[in-house]
Amino acid sequence: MNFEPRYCEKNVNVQSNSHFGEFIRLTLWLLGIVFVIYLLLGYTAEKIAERLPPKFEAAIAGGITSKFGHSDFPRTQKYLQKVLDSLVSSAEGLPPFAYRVIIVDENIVNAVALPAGNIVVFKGLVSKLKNENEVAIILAHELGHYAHRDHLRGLGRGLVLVSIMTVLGVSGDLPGFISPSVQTFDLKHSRDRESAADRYAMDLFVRTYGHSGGTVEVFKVLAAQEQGGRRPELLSTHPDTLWRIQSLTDYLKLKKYPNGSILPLPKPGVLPFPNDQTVKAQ
Amino acid sequence: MADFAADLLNWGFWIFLFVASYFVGTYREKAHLKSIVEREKRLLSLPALTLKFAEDRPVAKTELVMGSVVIGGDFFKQVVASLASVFGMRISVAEAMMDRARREAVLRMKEKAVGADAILNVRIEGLKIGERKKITGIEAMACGTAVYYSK
Repeated sequence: MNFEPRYCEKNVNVQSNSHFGEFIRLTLWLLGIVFVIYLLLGYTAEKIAERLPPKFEAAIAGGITSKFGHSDFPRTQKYLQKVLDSLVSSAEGLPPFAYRVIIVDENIVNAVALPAGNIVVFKGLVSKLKNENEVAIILAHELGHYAHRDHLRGLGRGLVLVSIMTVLGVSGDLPGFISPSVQTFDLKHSRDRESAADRYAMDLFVRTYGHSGGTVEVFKVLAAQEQGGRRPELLSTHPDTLWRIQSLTDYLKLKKYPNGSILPLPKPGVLPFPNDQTVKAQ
Repeated sequence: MADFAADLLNWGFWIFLFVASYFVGTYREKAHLKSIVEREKRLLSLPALTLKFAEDRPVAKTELVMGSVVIGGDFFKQVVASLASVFGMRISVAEAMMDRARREAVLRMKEKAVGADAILNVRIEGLKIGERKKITGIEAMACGTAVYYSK
């Protein structure tokens, strides 16, 4: 038996030396699969959430509600609650919840519809409002989300997104410059829902107050607020405010809603936002 | 804005590490492969076999020879390997690494057996260094019996 030295130039054990190509291929695969899972599960979760009975929803919301036990701004909250109650009493198609409004001490110009009729209004928004009409249209807009069950759709999709991120080992929040692109896909949906809630709010306002005076102005306030840090429309949940004002004005003309008087805020100064704690101290 | 900057800094660090480790890793791998091929050609005349028995000739001396090498898995390779492990695909970055390590181990073993006529009963083993799924590095070890025939 003879040993014949021979060198084999071809390496059968390593098929590819293009590691970067490999990385791109795997990333695309992963993103594709995650996207498909997100679509399927998100759709399912949305459909389930929409059909969630109010009783069950209230039980889930127990954890959220317990956090809002006390209020930092009792007088303002009482006033908002009064406006909300009068809206709810003339509303149609709302799920039977005990609707509550909670003011949260953060300088965000926004309001959120949480499960089981808990509406959160941030201090930043409250301090921008100048009359009762504006307060009412904001609250009516959030009621519109309950009437269309939008608050649950977001919940279902959010849950799926968080689950996928957990499975992939992405703990905590996505960085600020990635998360908008993750959510962009959902935003088109979201904007349609906001518009629907706007129209519902307008109908409800007219039903409660008998006219539509002072309602569009609140969106102008929001528009002015946005001038500082404008985001492109595709990246914002709420439709571009100018477009929103236009479509609401068109809607008012279409429905031939009468213009009416603007109700002042109650005196002395429940709004715009005096700090209840300093008032108490005096 | 401050959040954005913090995110950018935090993630930018990892992205920079990823890109840098790709370029450095690729460069090192190429250089290593070049040296392996060169030495393999030089040591070609010394057979390393899995045969258990020597030729039917008088044997002057036998000796255990062993060569082992540890290669670190860079950040880029770790990320790609963990992506591949999600789908059960071929992890070609690890293939390339293991291949280099095994060949280097055989070479070191051969370099240890100075003046031998053959290395018999060669065994090659590889193992991963690093906790759980993490590939900190890999070790490859080759050992065999160096045979010196009587002249």
